[in-house]
Amino acid sequence: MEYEVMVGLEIHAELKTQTKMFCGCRNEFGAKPNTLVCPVCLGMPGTLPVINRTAVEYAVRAGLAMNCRISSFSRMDRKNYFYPDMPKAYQISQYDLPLCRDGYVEIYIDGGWKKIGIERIHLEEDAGKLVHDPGGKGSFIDYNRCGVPLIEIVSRPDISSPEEAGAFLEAVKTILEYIEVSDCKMQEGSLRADVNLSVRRSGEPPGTRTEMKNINSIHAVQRAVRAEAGRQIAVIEGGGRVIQETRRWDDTRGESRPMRSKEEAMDYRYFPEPDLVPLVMDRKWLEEIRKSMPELPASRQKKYMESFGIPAYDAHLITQYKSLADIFEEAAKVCGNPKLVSNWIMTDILRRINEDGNFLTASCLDGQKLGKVMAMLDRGDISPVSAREVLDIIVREGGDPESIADSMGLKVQRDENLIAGAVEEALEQNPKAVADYTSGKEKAFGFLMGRTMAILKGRADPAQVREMLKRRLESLKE
Amino acid sequence: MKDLNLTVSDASRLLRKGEVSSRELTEAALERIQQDNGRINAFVTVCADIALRQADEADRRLRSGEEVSPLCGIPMGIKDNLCTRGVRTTCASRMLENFVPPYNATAVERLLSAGAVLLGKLNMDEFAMGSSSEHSIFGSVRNPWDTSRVAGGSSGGSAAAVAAGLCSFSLGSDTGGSIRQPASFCGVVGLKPTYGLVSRYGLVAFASSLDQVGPITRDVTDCALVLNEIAGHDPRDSTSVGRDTEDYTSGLDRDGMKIRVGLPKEYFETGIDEDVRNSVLKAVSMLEEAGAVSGDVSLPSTDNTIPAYYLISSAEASANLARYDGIRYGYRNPGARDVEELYRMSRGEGFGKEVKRRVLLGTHALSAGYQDKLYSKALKVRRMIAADFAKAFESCDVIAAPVYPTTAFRLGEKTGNPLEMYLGDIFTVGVNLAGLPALTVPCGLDRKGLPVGIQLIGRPFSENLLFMAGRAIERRMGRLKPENSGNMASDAPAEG
Amino acid sequence: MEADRDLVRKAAAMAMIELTGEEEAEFARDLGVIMDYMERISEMDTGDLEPMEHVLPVQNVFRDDVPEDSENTDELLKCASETKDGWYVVPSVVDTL
Repeated sequence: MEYEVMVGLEIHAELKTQTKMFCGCRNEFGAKPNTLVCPVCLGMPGTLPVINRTAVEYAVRAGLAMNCRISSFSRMDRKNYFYPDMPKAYQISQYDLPLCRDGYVEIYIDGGWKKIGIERIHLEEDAGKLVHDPGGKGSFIDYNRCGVPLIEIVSRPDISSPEEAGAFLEAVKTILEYIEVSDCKMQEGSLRADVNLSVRRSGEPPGTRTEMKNINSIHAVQRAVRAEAGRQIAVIEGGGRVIQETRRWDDTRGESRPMRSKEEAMDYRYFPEPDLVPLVMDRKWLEEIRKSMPELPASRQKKYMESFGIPAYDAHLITQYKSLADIFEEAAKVCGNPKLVSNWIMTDILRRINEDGNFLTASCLDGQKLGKVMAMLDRGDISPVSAREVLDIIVREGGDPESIADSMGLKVQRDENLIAGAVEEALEQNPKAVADYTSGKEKAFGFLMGRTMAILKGRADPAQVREMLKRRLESLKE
Repeated sequence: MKDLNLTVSDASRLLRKGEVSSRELTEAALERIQQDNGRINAFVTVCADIALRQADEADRRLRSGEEVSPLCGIPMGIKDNLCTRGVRTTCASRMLENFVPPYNATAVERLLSAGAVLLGKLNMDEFAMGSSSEHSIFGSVRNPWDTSRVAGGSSGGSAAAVAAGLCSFSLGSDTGGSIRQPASFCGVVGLKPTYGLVSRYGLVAFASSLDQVGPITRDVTDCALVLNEIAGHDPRDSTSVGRDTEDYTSGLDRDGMKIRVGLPKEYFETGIDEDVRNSVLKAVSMLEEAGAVSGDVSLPSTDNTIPAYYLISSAEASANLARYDGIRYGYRNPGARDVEELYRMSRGEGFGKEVKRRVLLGTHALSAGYQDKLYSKALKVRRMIAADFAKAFESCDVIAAPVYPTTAFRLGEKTGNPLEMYLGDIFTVGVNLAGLPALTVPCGLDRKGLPVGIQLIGRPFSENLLFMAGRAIERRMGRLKPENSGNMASDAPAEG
Repeated sequence: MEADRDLVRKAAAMAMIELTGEEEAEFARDLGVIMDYMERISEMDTGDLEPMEHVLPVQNVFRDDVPEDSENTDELLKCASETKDGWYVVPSVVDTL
């Protein structure tokens, strides 16, 4: 029996503004509890919210980057519910007039591009952090995160597999990094995903949807999608019906469990926020924001594939990180051989990134320097091994690639006198091999090549050395 | 001891001349509070040490010759729903009985910067919900004119304190008439400013789209002086308007104003007390003497103002009061075993009956299945009401109306019947729904010797015009003098 | 009457307010009378008027993204009747979200 899986993701991304959504408290991670708070974000009596302009601009950037229509009139609403991490017992969010609507994100999957629809993107404030006492005696609350600006990105249920879910989440993450509105550190919670999933037999109407909340890694999302689809299919095959519910995904166990259900669905009693006035996005402001946007990953990926002939897989990997793509483009320009640069990145640089997660931010390598190293490699001035050595130094300390190569004596020797001298030395040190060669044993040539190269510490063009050695040996024969 | 029971303008004049000091004024006020507050229960917190310190500082500034506000050194009272740093702010509720805010409301901050002296906090209906100041954990406020009667609400303490001479002026708040009605009952002047003119930051929210902070004073000039200080844009309040500040005292005594005064026929058709009607109409004739022309206007949606008001204000209140759970501040039930119990018990025990009634009403009005026909509908009716006023203002400049159908009723008379209590607000709530300014000025006494006030309603940001009209009535009226209160301010001679 | 009691119970649950049996009965009576009066508004013909949430013709009020540090976060914490090592405290929470 063929089943189709319909998945929608709701992604919450913290915006990396300096301050919170409605007050001047710093938007920072890791501070001591309840030190980045004020009467406004603590919901103290008489306090009032004031909207952070930059948060609005970041949200619009996200909407433009995901091909959305930006609403010319939108407003904030109160979403009313009680939970200790929400001091006002309502969250200021957007209900029926969100800032962005009807967009899409392209993912590269199974050799082609697929559009995943974006239903809406809206602005809201984050809640505080609740920590449960392991002794079971109660819970503790830290409101540092309370009031941090969030955008909620709601996809259409166009995702049909765990791989697509992962690709979509990754694409969104990359886009947000590119437009510099979020640092998307899933492990720190600045990017979280809820998964809505239903299954159906082909041709039938959509099945009942379940929701899994606050999954915080791409792999966990994929695992959750796979598991939940499997679970729902098993329920149906077993003759049962899928219940509409919210489930908690436990990644260590690899399973989900229903959360405590209430007798009725939550009634949030949404109504327009009376303490705030509407948001009117005029053409001028919109154009300013549009102009300030950097080029997006999918467009860069296409450019690399089409203009540089880089394979899709490589182009995709390189554009995963904005800084890496920046380095690539710069290096390709300096060196003039994009394919060489991209191959090098795929092998050497990606290895460095895998070994050290902070590589891209912490290293002293930039596109210029990488380009110079690649140029030397391209010309044959250094060998791949030497290139790696030069890069080790540059990554650690920076510096000029040419000078480093010179000072380390890594550059390939082309000086004929030097090579002639090395040849002489090799011949002198190995008279038996010479004798073998002149008496017709060709193998001895290889041995003498090796000895000559060793004297030159490998820093010579083998072709040039071969030619000079041969000429010298031939001259001996006469 | 000199009778230091002065208006703001008189006190200000004497302070500048050096004939009296702020300390003297403040000590005298504290003395009067000591002697008289028990009778009327206007003040719930008196901060004598703070007041004297502020008075000394004001004196220093006055002596130094630096330019100071007319309010410098003047003793004031603040309604207990306006946050005062370091001074308990209770909203007359068990929920906030021990809440000491670490911040000032903007309006308070401005007055303190101007050098006014904080005597203490004034009694009110709990969370500003009420029209009699009987819903208070500190007991009812009693009307200085007749202590068996209410002072009005919810700013009852603010009005009673000024009427009894316990302070030179006070701040109140008005969501559906809570400044105007007590001012009327106590025979003093009260202003509800245009929505957005005075910052709401630090005013404990009742209904966000209706609340405004305003002055309660002995006369119109004082009211303008206080408004000068508190009005103006506040970046901490997104609903505060960025207007250029004006001097509300300018042109107050100009007579011969050719204004058109409109009398809403629907208001005068309802059951108002005869004495109230006559006093109001007499005041209108005084305006005519001053050069005004009066005529009828119509506010056809009048009957719908009460349901619209109560649904909107209760809905907003239900959300604004949801934050009170005892976790970060306020009353916390000590025995709760889980967080849900903590919420339910803290709120069940912390809130009084009237508050609970309105929160339940408001929650219901917002709930699924009801929101469209109750809350959203009320918002549509609101637009109709605002349109009514706008249309009326095409044929007049000021609307003259009663404040309340009767003068001050007896304590306990209406507490058993909430709906009846709500219906009395018929003349005041429309103004809040439309966001308009309205001034109450005393305009006579009824046959029982109780004060009647006239309400002057204007277009948005027309406070100056309202003050002029109010002053015209005041000059011809003279100050009200009760039979049996020795503490009332002395009469000003009638000027003609 | 029963409908009124039901209304009160539902609203009290949503508003997280614990009512005694007596209060429930009293409020059921009060709200019954009050709602009868207030509900008349739903009969009104408002044509195609839009809801009026704001009385001010104001829009786009913002603050700049510039930090304003609280000088006294300790003072804020002190307003709570129960805290521990800089954390706010609540009795155990059963996950409803």
